Amino acid sequence: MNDQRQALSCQPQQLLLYYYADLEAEDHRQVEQHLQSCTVCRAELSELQKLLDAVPVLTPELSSVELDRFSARVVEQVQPQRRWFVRPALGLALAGASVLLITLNLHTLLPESAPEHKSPLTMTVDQDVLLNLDLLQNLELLEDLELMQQLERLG
Amino acid sequence: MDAATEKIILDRICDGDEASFEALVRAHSARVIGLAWRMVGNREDAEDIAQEAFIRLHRSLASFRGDSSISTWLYRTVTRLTIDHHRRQKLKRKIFFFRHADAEYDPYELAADPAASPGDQYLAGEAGHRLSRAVEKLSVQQRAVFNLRHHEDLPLKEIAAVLKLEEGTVKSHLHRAVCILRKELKDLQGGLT
Ligand SMILES: [Zn+2]
Repeated sequence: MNDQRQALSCQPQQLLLYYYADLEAEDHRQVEQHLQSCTVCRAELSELQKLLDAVPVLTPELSSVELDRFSARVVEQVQPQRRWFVRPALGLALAGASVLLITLNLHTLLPESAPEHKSPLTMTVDQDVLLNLDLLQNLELLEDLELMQQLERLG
Repeated sequence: MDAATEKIILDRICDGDEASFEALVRAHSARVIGLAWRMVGNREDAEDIAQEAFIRLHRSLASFRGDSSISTWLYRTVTRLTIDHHRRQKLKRKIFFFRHADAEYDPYELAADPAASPGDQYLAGEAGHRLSRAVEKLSVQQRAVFNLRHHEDLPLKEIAAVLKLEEGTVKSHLHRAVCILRKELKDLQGGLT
């Protein structure tokens, strides 16, 4: 009875998993059964197939030499005695990037960057940015905090 | 790499065998870089993220209880690092818009990484460009779920484990992602390959 009712209802989210062959055997069977009697879902499935078949499954190609080089670089990073001579890890690079960003902002605010080309609005906004550089840095810290909280919620 | 081999390699690494660690990195690197690449859209950032994930793996090896496989752990870490990366990019764009509030800019131009050369893109041509733009419309979670399901061929259950989400949540992220792609690629179907 329950089986029959389920077989009769349209469940678009199941169709997607059906396409990926990612349903339990019993669910798979139910969708199959439903498809036989439902033209709407059959049309929907064929649309999904058309779209997803057209999105190529791609693995970016890296040669084995490139992968060897990458692995060697990672190993170098984890060896403490050589750590200082190689490219800084991502965290450091990102911290650097934010400093660079702030620096760039500052640079474009220097008088020789032709302020006469800027509308009064931009000037006001720029001064705001200048006055709030610390705030912007804190903003990024806040974003990180928010991210951490979000991750904690996820985890 | 099966669980038994993984356990042997883990033991060797914990005994200080760097060659085993290198072998482990080598075995997982293509998929890890690939996942990061699809998530961030350019190779350089992808390699940085992959590298950071492996460094973190090395750091937590001692506490690695083997209750989640290394690839699950790596997928999870890469996904978190790319979420972090996207948030930073978003903030940078926000500041940029703030500074240029009086001008009109194409947000896609800003979203594109200027450092990414055409050779950096994993999908070339107009169709690839359209796909990249469509993927940009996905939230970072939707993108992660879609990439793990469509490109990495991970079952929903494993995606839920990787992202520490309920299966129902993963299911609706996937559904939403496909709805968005469908809308964005309406006129392109059949012409992407
Ligand atoms: Zn139906």
